[in-house]
Parts: sequence; structure tokens; C-alpha cells
Amino acid sequence: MPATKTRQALKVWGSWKGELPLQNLYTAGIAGNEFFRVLKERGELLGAFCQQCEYGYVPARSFCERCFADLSGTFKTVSSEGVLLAWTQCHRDRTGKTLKKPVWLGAVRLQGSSSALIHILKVPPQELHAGRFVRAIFKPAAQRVGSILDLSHFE
Amino acid sequence: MARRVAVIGAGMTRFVRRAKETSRELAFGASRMALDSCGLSLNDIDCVVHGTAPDAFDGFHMKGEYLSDGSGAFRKPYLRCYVGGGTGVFAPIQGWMHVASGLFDTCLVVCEEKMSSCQPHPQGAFNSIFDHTTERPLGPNLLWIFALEMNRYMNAYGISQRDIAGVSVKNKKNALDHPAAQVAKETTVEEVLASEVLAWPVHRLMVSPVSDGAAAVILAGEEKARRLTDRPVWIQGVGWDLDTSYWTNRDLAYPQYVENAARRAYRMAGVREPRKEIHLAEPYDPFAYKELHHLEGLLLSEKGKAPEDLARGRFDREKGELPTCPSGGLMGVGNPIAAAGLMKICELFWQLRGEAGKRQVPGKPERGLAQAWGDLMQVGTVVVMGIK
Ligand SMILES: [Zn+2]
Repeated sequence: MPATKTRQALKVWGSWKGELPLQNLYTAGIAGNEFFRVLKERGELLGAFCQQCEYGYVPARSFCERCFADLSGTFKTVSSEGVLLAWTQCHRDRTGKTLKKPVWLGAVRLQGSSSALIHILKVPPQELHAGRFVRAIFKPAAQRVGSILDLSHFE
Repeated sequence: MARRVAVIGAGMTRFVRRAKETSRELAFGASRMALDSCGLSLNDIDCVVHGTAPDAFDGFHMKGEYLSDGSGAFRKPYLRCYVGGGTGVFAPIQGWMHVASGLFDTCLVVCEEKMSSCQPHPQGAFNSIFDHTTERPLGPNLLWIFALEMNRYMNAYGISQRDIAGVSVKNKKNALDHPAAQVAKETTVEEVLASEVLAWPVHRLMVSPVSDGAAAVILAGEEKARRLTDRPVWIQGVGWDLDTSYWTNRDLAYPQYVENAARRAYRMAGVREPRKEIHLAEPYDPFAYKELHHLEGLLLSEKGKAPEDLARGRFDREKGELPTCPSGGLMGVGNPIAAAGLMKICELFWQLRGEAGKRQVPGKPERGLAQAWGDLMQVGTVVVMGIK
């Protein structure tokens, strides 16, 4: 079929915009609720610790995925300082649009944790290197609502 | 020849609306309980099969991956299977294949659903399963389909709403003895018929609730099963079958796909006369009429005669010749989609081991059947289990 003819046919067939109109009441869960309560009330980060696996989870989890131990009795806060494992400088947003200013993201392993926490990084670009010590900066208590964004960034 | 496979452990969370746990924590709760029930640890599990229905419910795409930690899949072979509402009985069939093939000796099968968090209503998630050109513009929800199917079933055989309401009464009553039940209650046919009409002829008390919950079973190959327990419950037969996905193009009065699935399972189990050889059944009952519809498809009642069997008490738990939904079913225990189907497998396990407590079917039943249904309302999944 010639190209012009195909275009005409497509016009006749038509297409239209639709959507999957859904929202969700997301649940923080048993461990998540504690994590966010401590973050909001105290500006601290809560972890969970499996003795058998010698593994620390931050944010806290209610069970160990490695051995299925119940970790709900092991919650304790960890240091707000840690090591930068990896970083990126992002130039496009999730719809592909160019950001006005780049955003830096880092994977940080806090002292006492085995896992990494991903969050916004505000470190002078010339100082960005894996292994650098970084520190969590929290929003002032009055602005904290129990969200992962109560942790403002790492610097 | 496939290896024999047994269920050796089972567990489930309570079925509730608005669970405080995350989906992962729910999956963990059921999985851990199933492991504990047979004294195994996660190390003893060779592979994991997970079942969960639409991603949209949990507000999470790739839900199988999201739920893998709570399902015990850390560094293990893992499979998520999905045939909508049929998933809960399909998942143990997948687990059976993993073990029957000889590839694995043990398998943890876990199903989870968290529906109540879906806003503004879980029915909204179902709107997107309809054809975007010919059906979605009408704004359908599942109730519309079920209302049409129920009405077709009634018209084909001269069945009344009153004939069907008895399923709600029986199942909600059975569920009073289930510690995990969400909507157990003592009710009457009159009360069911007086409840709100959601889409005629479907009344509110003929519909299972929106639920959150999880269920899990442990499967083992014959040698392993005999070493781990002296009361294995064998998976004797499995079957599944798919009808056309156009609901406009299938027989709404009779679920031929359920019959096809059942015939496969019966053949494998060596069952020639299902009405004599099946001692209890957990047919899928998300709506009251579906239990009857399915019992006919499963060849456990004559076509159009399940309502008569129900009326004369044939399906009663204490005195009936074929107790159906002794657990209380989806109408009584609740309906976290995939978990509800696997709950039926758990029930067979407990019943056939004589561990069902107040729900125990009398007469030492030796063989039972569980069935689920779903996808685009055209899939039948069947498992036959027994102690021999
Ligand atoms: Zn551990």
C-alpha cells in the first residue's frame, strides 16, 4: 500500500486517549510505620538487625529475607553518617524533559547498616567520589510529616 | 512418569479489610506459618512459586518481584504465575510441576493479595481488563458481568434468586468456625434477598468482600514427604483449561472450561465417578451462584440441579453427603483473590488430615477437590487431593 494511502486509513481508524484511573492507599506496614514514626518524631533512621545473617537493614524491616527471622524485636536507630557507594548526576526528569538544574543521587551505606539508602546528594561536584563520608540532613521537626523526604539530603 | 507430590504444611493470615501489614509482610506471615507447621526453615526450600492477581491492587507493577522477599525467594528459583482469580489453585499446580518433574524436592507456594488499598475501589482496576474499544466506554465493573452470567444461569434452568441465596447462608455460617474469617455470620435467605441490589439479580450478601490476606503451602516429593511427615496429603490430580476470552462468545449458563479442567484432574487422580469418589469440595464462590455453577461444571451436580442439591442439604458440612466450602469459602472467610484460592487448598489439607477443628467434616474424608476460576472469567483450575 502506498504511504499516503496508509496515512489516510490510519486517520479513518482513529485512536484516542484513555487511562487506567487508579490511586492507592499505600501502607508503610509494621516495620515501615516504626521507621517513619522515628524519622518524624526524632529525625533519626531506624534499622533492623538479623543476628544469624549478620545483616542490618535500613529502613527497618519486620523480617529477614535471607533466613526468615522475625526482626520486629531488633529495631534500633543507626548513625546518620555513612559512606557514599555510588552517585549519579541526573539531567532529565521521568518524562524525559531536561531538568533546569541537575539532581544528584547517591547510594549511601550508613554506619551499622549492610544495605544502601538511596537519596538526594548535595555534595560539591569536585568532592564526589565513592568512599566519601556523607551525613544525613533532616528537615526541621516542624516540617517533618513522616515521609522519606523528611530526610532532606546527604551532604 | 511424574513423581508423586504431597502437601506437607499450610498457613494463612487472617483475611481482613485494610491490613496494617504491607503486602510483603502478609506474604511473610503466611509463608512463615506454613514452614513452622511442618518444622522446616527457609533453607529446606528448593524453589518458590508465587501467585498474585492484578498488579493494580497493590499499586505496584511487577508485584511478583515486589513480593519475592516475603515469599522466601531470596536466592532461589522463583516463579510468579497469574490467571486472575484462578491463580490460587493454579499456583499449587505450578508448584506441583516443579516437584513432580524431579527438578526440586521441596517448593513453597504462596499467594497474596491486598485489595482494600486500591482506590477509589478495586472494581476500578477491573475496568481496564475489558476491551478498550467495545466495552470500557460503557463503564463496566465485574458485577455487571456476573449479573448477566447469573441471570443467564437462572434463565437456562428456571432457577430463582431464592434458590441461590442459600449458598451465602451456608458459607457465612461455616465461616463462623474459621479463625481467619472476615465476613462470617449467621444469616437467612430472607436477609440475603433483602440486602441491597448491586446489579440485579446480584444482592450485596451474594458477593464476597474486598479483602487483604495471604496463604501458603509447602510441597514435597514423595521420598522427602514421607521423611518429613507421617500424614502427607497427596496431590492426586491437577487440571486447568481456558475458554474464549470473549465473554460474549461463551456459554454463560455452563462453564465448559471448568468441566474440561476437572476431567483432566479426575483422569490423573483415577477418579471415575466424582460424585462418589470426591468426599468434600471447595468450589470457587466469589458470588453465591458461582458455587452452584462450578459444582455443575465439576460434574458434582447435574446441569441446572445444584440448587436442588443445596436445598436438600447435600452440601451441608455436618450432615451432607458432599460438604462444599466447609471453610466458609470466599463468601465467609473472604476474598483476597489469589490467597482465597490457596486458602481452599489449605482447607483440603487440614480437612484430610483431620485437623480442621470445629470445621471438621465427619466420616474421615479421604479425597477432596479445590477449584478456582478467573482470568477474564474463562479459566478453570482444579486440584484433587487425597490421603492415599
Ligand atoms: Zn537473617
